[in-house]
Amino acid sequence: MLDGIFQGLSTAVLPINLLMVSVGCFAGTFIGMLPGLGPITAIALMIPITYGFDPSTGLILMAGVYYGAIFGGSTSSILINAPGVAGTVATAFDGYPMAQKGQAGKALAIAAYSSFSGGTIAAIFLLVAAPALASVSLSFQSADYFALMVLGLTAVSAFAGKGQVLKAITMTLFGIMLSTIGTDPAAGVARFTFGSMDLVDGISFLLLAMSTFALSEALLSILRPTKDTRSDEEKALKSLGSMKLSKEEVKTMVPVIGRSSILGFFTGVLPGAGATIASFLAYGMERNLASAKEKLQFGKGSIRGLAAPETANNAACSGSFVPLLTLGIPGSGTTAVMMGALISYGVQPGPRLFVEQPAVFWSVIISMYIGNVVLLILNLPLIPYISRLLALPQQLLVPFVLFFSLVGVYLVTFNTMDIHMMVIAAAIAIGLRLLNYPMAPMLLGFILGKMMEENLRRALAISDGSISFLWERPITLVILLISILFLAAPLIGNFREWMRNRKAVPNDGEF
Amino acid sequence: MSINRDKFGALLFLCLALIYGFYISDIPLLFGDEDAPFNARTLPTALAWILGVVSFVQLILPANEEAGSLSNAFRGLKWRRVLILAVLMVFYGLTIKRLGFPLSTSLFLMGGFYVLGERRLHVLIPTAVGVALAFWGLLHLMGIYLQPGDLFYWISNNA
Repeated sequence: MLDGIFQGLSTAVLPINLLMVSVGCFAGTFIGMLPGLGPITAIALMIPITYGFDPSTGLILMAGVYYGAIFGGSTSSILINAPGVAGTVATAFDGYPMAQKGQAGKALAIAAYSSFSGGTIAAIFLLVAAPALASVSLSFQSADYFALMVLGLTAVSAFAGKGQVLKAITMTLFGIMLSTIGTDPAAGVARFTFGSMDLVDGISFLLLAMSTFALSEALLSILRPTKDTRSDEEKALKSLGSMKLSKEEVKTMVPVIGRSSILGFFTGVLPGAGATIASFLAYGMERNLASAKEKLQFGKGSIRGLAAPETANNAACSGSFVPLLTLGIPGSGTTAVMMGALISYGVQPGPRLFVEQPAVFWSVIISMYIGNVVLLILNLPLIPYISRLLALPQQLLVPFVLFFSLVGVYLVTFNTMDIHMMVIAAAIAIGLRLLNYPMAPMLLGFILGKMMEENLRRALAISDGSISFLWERPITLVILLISILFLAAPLIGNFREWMRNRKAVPNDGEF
Repeated sequence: MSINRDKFGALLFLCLALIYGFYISDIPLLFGDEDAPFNARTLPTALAWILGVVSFVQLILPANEEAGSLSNAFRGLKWRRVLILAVLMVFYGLTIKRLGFPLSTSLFLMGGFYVLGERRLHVLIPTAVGVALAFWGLLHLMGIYLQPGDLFYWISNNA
């Protein structure tokens, strides 16, 4: 392990990688600040740039963007109560009231220190947990992988939120369906290409990610215009106040950071959970642990209420790398995009990555420390200036996002048909978003669909066509049972609620 | 009476499952693959069935009133600008090879700025042209060559 850490360290501290992690943190912070554009869009926009780099550098850049986007989301949550990212919604609960009291500088500093601590502590956990899990998963067979992919997909649906479970399942299935378009890798026959040569290679992952996130989010911001926040921003920036924290405040933060880091990391490891759920759980936990007097402060500018979600969301970001790097299963939409990018570099994430490409594996983990340091020393003093970039009017920003998305895909294939396909895919994505369908499960289904089919095919071939592989190995059976549990729990919950509601309706005597 | 938003979505996906299922028979099978435990049609067949069942269940379950009606979901949206931007993107795809990257990009950006309300020509033109040329130059530096376009060659041949 020590060899690996040194190898990772030597890769991560290469000047190009240091530059990329800084660029990533900076770009991510800026994009994350823009309401409506989340980390998935930020990372998707970076993918075409990373094609020219080696996989370690590309992944380091994307990890920096991920951290930066979460941090940037916190800034807009605190300053203007407009979370750029879902994972920072809970930050606004106490961050914005602090800013209204003229303590925006202090709130930003608390957010920065909490993010730094959460990210760093979680990276230490990752350093220990990832290799251990990777060693265990080396013994996995096709059947176990198939079961793991089913688990990844069902967990995403299970964590989708109230009333969204069936929609998330639908979108996951839709994603897998899209992955079946093109040439079947085993038989070599065309599926759903309708005679079009452009579809023979299937739908490009980058095209799908760009059009369903970057393009559709930019167009939705035009379709559903939000109120102009520039004046609020200018007002908040004028009265930032001091960024210094007192000893008492630091003392209050330390135990919160410790607890929330652990909670955030483990929530992030769970497939489908991620930064949003982690931040809400941490906020809820701190509120429950607070004394009656402290509880009254929550929602009015409590330091604990701000530090907890900020720590947890960054810790969850590190945690979400565990299933990606060790099992090759992305736990969230963001890591699904990273996985798609890695596959297009020719790197297969999973347990073999640890053995075959230790430089990639370790350098990403080491770069997380570096990324956290960069966020703290670069972004904290620069926040007042980076925020000013938000003053760029929407009429200039949106065409730029559209342009970078289109060109990003075009530069990979030089096929103008891709631009037209992006417009169609973005139109479908907008329609589905308006119907309240989540996009991340679709991307996850698309990424995992092909792999799931391959592993299922292999497992069936090994077991001579019998489906007994599903229960022959205890590990396969356990993973599948957990998947069923994940899937059944919210459905049973919904059904029970429906039954309760039915009973609650007074019977008026009609049959 | 307006249809519930969730029900409409479920209906769309039920149609998708049926159409997808219909085209499965178009997937050619290799000789001997018909009886194989897993062939090119296995996963699509399973997907069509599962999606069909899931959307059907969504359709027959009691409506989620919080979802609201379909007309509410689509009310108050600024479609005109988005449609023009979509047309601009299609136009960009059609012209990027003919007019060349710098010209088509400049036109696309200028169109985008204009549609979104930027009317100051001294901002609109220099920003669009500047970004297009700067990006083109950057691509050159990165070793990515983009042709100046058919129009450029036509002009230089006729000059």
